[in-house]
Amino acid sequence: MCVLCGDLILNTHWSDNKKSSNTSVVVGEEQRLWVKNRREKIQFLNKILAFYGINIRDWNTSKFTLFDKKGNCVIVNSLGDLWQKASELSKERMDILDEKLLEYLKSR
Amino acid sequence: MNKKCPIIIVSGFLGSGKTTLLTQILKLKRFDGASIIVNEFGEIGLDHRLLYHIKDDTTLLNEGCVCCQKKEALLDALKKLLFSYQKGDIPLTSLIIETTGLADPAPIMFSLLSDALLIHHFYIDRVIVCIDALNIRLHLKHNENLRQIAASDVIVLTKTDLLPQKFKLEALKQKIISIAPTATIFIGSKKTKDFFSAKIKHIPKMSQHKSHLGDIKSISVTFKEPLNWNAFGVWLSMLLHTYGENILRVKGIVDTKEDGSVAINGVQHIIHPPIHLPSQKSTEEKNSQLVFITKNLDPQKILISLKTFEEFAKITDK
Repeated sequence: MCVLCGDLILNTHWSDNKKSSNTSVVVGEEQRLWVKNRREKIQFLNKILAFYGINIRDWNTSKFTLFDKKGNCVIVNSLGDLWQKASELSKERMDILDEKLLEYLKSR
Repeated sequence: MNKKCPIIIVSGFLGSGKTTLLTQILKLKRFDGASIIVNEFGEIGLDHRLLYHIKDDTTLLNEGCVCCQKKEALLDALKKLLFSYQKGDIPLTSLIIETTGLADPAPIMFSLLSDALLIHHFYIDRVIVCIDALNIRLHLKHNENLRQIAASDVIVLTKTDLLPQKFKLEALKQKIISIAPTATIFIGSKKTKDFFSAKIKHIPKMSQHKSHLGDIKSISVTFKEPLNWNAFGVWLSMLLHTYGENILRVKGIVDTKEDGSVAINGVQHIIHPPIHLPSQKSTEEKNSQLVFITKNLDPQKILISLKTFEEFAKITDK
């Protein structure tokens, strides 16, 4: 459960979990790596989302917040619901196969 | 439950021999403590009555398909079984779900993998799909059947004894491989034991294969250098968000610089929890291999996008 908003976090996104399910994990053991991966993901996401004029920020390493340039904000749980919400916020279709987006990424 | 309970999904088009196969499977000793859920489209279910003779622990979900209208009913049935197990009423060593002939296995997997309770107690072991060798040409015209085949891990060709002598079984196999390159194909349903000992393949044997069906296309990609897992996660989640319906299957092994590789297995919008494979010997070649099977989508576009994104990730990484 999220300590900030009381929202139940029902599942982890597949990309956050690449360990074997049989391995036991000591609490806090992988926290550093987890935070590092999270920051790296945000870095990538921001480069893509900049194309659509939106920005993603970390919210206390529990959730993400999406902002557009007018200051509208949406809470995002994981990569699972990000694209849907980003699409609603920017009113654009999030398309990774879009040639214009790929050209934009190449130019960065 | 120390270990998660394996779920075996038995699917296949209408009349492809699912129930017959199930009755044979249930004779295996490994399914002595198994529970079964049978889903039927019609108002009056018959299959479960055939199965009662073998197993009395059979749950029937009728009047609708568990992949769409009856999603909740399936989750409820699973929870009921789990609670019975926890009370000590049933052994629940494994669970077999027989879908309707029109079911798409992907939403069923999604329901299971996205339920906060069930994900901790069950995992999807394999999807077995029956194909009626006699009527496959007719069945392949239906999207439901294509989706079933693409989602499969094990394919059982049924009614092969009824085939005319001239029938080219090899051609049929090739056709199936073009839809499901990673599936293990069995001819006839006699070797039931082998269906479960067959190792789930992560990547197909061949590097390139042509599709035999117009709008279904596949592509395999190999990356010699390790992929950035975070960038790959962002890329694949974005791809599946928009094109999940068109991507029947994603499968492969990703080398992520760390020890060992990560096996990816996805059906349409859903990606199974990735499996960390034990590290290979240093002498073995380490690379990433991915297979995409698409419908009404040019796989070359996926390839271009992934390569551009990886280049971009490398630059960002530095």
